[in-house]
Amino acid sequence: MMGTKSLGEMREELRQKLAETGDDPIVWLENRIATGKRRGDRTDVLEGIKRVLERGAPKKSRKVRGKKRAPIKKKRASI
Amino acid sequence: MADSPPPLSSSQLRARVERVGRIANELGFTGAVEYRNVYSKSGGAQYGRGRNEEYDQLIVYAEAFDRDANPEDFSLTAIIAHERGHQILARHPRIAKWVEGKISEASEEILAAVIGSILCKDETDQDNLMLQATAILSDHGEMADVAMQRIQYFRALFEELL
Repeated sequence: MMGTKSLGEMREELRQKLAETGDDPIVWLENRIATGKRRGDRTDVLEGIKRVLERGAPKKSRKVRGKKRAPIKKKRASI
Repeated sequence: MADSPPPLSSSQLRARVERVGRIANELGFTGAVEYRNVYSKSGGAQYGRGRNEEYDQLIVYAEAFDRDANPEDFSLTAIIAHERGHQILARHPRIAKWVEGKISEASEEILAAVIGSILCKDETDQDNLMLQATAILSDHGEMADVAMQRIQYFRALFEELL
C-alpha cells in the first residue's frame, strides 16, 4: 500500500532530518553528490532527492503586518 | 477529506477506469485492474495476490485521483507503480524467492517504492518514489545518509534483476 502520508509531508520530514546535520539540506546533498562522483559511485538517489527538495522549497515565513518596526539605530563607525 | 468522494457521471467513471487500466498496462501489471469510486484509507491503491499472477488484483480508489490532482502529492502513475512494485516482489522468480516471508511489512513498502521508481518513465515520479523509499527507511530509525546509500544499493540491484 502506498500509505497515507503525502509527498509534501515526507519531503518536509526528510528536510528536517537533513537539517539536523547542521548544514542546509541542499548543500549537504550537493557535497555528497560531489564526493560520490569523485569516487565514481552512483549518485542518482541523492540527485533525485535533491530535485524533490528543490521542487518543494520551504515556504518563507510571512511578514507580520500592522506592526511598526523599531527604528534602526545607526552604528558609529569605529576605526 | 470528505467521508466519500463526489459521485461521478458514467463518462467520468469510464475515463478513470480507462486511465487506471492504461497506466497499469504500461507498467506491466498482470491480472485484474479495478477502479472503485470510494475512499479506502489505503493511500489510493492496493495490490492483492491471487492464486497466480493472472489472478492478481490491482484496486485503485478515489483518493488516488485526489492525490494525483495535488501538486504536493504522488501522481497516479507513481501510486500504481508502487503497487506494481509489490507484484514484482511477489511474482518475479528471483526476487520473490529472496523476499517471500523474509522481510517485514515496512521493508516490503521500501522495496516496492524502489522498484516503482525504476518502472516510472517520468523523472519526477522516479524522484518522488526514491524519496518515499528513503523516508520510510529513515522513519524506521536509519540515519538519512545511510538510508540513501541503501536505497541506491537496492536500486542498482533491482535494475540488474528487472
